[in-house]
Formats: sequence, structure tokens, C-alpha cells
Amino acid sequence: MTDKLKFFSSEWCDAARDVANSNEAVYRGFKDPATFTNKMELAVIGREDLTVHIEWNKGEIISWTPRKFDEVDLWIVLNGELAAWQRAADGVEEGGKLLMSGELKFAKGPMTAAIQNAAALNNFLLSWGRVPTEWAV
Amino acid sequence: MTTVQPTTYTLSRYDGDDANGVATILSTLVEQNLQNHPKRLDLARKFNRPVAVFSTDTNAAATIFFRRDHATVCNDIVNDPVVVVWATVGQILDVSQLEMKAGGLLPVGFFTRRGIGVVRDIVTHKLIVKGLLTHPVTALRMIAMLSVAS
Repeated sequence: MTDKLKFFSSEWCDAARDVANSNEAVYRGFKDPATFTNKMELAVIGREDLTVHIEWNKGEIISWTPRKFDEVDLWIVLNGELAAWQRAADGVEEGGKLLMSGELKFAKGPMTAAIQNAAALNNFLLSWGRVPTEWAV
Repeated sequence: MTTVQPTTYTLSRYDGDDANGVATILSTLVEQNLQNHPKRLDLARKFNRPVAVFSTDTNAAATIFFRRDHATVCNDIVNDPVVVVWATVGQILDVSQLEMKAGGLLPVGFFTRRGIGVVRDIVTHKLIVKGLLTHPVTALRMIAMLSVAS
């Protein structure tokens, strides 16, 4: 019996939303949190079942669920191998470095946003480490 | 003789799907910058030698070749680029947020807190810009091409 939550499951998304929203470093990392209102997709490469959609409103996550938005409504799409997401969550590598090494792939969206909000991205991914996660999914 | 400037400017990755992370990010960044700041097309056409970025903490590099009507980004440092920026991911992010005016010749971003940090890293050789002293205009133009600041 384990109390770990399966990565990118609905329960995991709920828990991750809470830790990310309560992490001030995420909010402070945005260039302008008041205007950070958008929808984004995070996905595990090659795993259709491991795709989640996040809706941000002024720097706060108001929805984090398995895929539910139309692709056209997504502002940013970020893909990575399961191992890359885990390394980011464990703090082994920062998100920016994983992007520069090509382990996380910026599939859609303005690179400007990724650069200007890199600190938020790094802390956002790092906050996942506070969720007890079952990575064998 | 009249020279007609092409009305379109395309950007490609020489290594296609095998492009490394630096090449992917640089090509996306330059392409989006040219879309968002069409005036930079004139700047892109002023490069007559390749320029490159080496990411020291991911140990990967990419070289950009600007031509009159297109640019190509290749993996690694190739064809003896005239300017090479050797920097960490954090330093690359900082450099790309420096505001540059007049096609890079008025580097106002260097007079900000972030810019002063970049200058300090250059002076202390934590960030190396090969070609900065021998080709300063090209180095400044390169930063202007990569800048996401308006």
C-alpha cells in the first residue's frame, strides 16, 4: 500500500496545484504575475495518457486536470520525457537547463514568455517535489 | 543597379529533428523575434559572418548563419564564427533580456541591474564573449538579435 500519487493523475494534479499556488517563489518569478493568464499543456513524450492542462489566472493556477482544452486555446505546450520531469521535480536540474539541453521541448508558445518567466518555471517545477509522487506510471 | 530586399525571411534548423536544445531555442527565439520586431530584418542582413552560443552547463552549442533572405541554425560551433558567447543557461537568459537600441549600437540594457551583472560576469570571465574586442559591433548586433526586450 502506498500513499504516493500517480504522476499527472487527477489526484496528483490537485495536490500539485495546491503546492504551486502556495509557493511564493513561483508567483515572484513571473515577470508580471498580474498578466499571467493563460492555458498551457504539459505532456510526457509518447504517452497520450500523461498530458495535463493548466489554466492560470493572474499568476495563480485555477485549474489543473488531464487534457480538456482545445489545442487552439493553448498558449504554451511543453513536452518532456518522464525522467526529465522527475529530475526537474527532484531539483536535480532546473527547468531552464532542461530546455537548453533539449530534454524539455518548447513545442508551442512565445519563447519570450519562457525566458522572461524562467524563474517562475524553475520554481513551479521544483514545487512538484513536495507532492508524494509515484513515478512508475 | 538596384538591390531589392526579399520580402520574406525564413529560418531553418540545419540538423532538423536532431537539432540540439541550444539550436532549437536559438532558432525559435530568432524566428519569433523577427516576427515580433520586423525592423530587425535589416539587422539580420548586416551579419556577414556566423555567430554562436555555447551553453557551458549543458555542454552544447549552436551557430547561426544570417543571410539576406534566410538564416540557418546548426548544432555545435562550425565555420569559425566571429563571435561566440560562452555562458551558463542563467547568463544566456540574462543576456537575452537586455534591451538594445539602434540595432545594438545603443546597449541601454547594460545600464540596468541585470545588465550590470552581465558586465561584471564578462569582466570576471565568468561569461566569455569571444570576439567582443575584435568585432564589438557584431557582438552587440548578436545580442540585439537575441533580445526579447522591446
